[in-house]
Amino acid sequence: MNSKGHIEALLREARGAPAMMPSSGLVARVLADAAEIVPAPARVPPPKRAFWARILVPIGGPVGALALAACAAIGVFMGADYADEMLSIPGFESVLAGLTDYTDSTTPFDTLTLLMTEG
Amino acid sequence: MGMALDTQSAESDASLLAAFARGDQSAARALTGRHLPRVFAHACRLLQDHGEAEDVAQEAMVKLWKIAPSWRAGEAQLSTWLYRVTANAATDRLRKRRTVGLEAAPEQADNAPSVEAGLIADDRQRTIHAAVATLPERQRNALVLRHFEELSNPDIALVLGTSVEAVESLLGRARRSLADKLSHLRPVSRRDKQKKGART
Repeated sequence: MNSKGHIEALLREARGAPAMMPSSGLVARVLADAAEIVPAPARVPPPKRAFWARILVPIGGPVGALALAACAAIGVFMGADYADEMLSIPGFESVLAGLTDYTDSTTPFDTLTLLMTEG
Repeated sequence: MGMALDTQSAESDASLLAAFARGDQSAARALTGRHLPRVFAHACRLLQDHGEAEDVAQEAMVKLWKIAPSWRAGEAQLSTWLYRVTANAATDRLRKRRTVGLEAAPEQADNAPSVEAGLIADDRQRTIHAAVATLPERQRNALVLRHFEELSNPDIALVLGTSVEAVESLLGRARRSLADKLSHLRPVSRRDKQKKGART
């Protein structure tokens, strides 16, 4: 057997020795280090809502906002351009008069009482 | 080992490290079960000192926990990285031993006769390890990685941060040196083993 073969045979023999295993104390220390070092799980902050989102969400989102804007525009448009035509609708004027009667001739408390008693 | 470790995890090292970085302690147990025995055995072989090997193994694992969040999958093999960290830590310890002039540091001994003197029939493995311990650091690192950890020469080159040719040269010198120191030891032949088996 040449010297390389001789040494390789001896090293093979030494490799056959039972593997050196870490003690339970070492394992415990390693795991304790891991528990100490582990980066805290990153807390994900709740997503910050944008300004417009904070306004739009309570009124039903963009669709709700569009509907609201459309209604307001129609109201302004009708009030500005069709006031006379509205008054010409039979009975509409008396409805308005009735409403103004209540508000003009009574206090807000009286109006409230009236509304509550009317059922 | 008294502590239950997950040694059967099928997950890759990289995904376990990522899980650990997210705070998953079971990933730490799996990584410990998978790598600590190898790291510890490697440190033992390099240092020939159980207590120091434990310290080095612990140091290596601390480095692993610290690097976990920035570990990039596919860049390096974790086992290779751990061998390198362990070898570096062990080398530092051996240098410190030398600096403070501790008596009987194994690598300083260079005392083949005393290795010979310690020869007894059932102490062969200790003799071989003691002879390995007398090798210069890099030769010993290369030899232990090749013959005990069974790494390929390119992997050893990665661990030692050198070329494959340099690894071959280190191994050659280590074997020649060991051949001188262990020339008195005859490898156990199959016949010897059979005789031993028949006796027991």
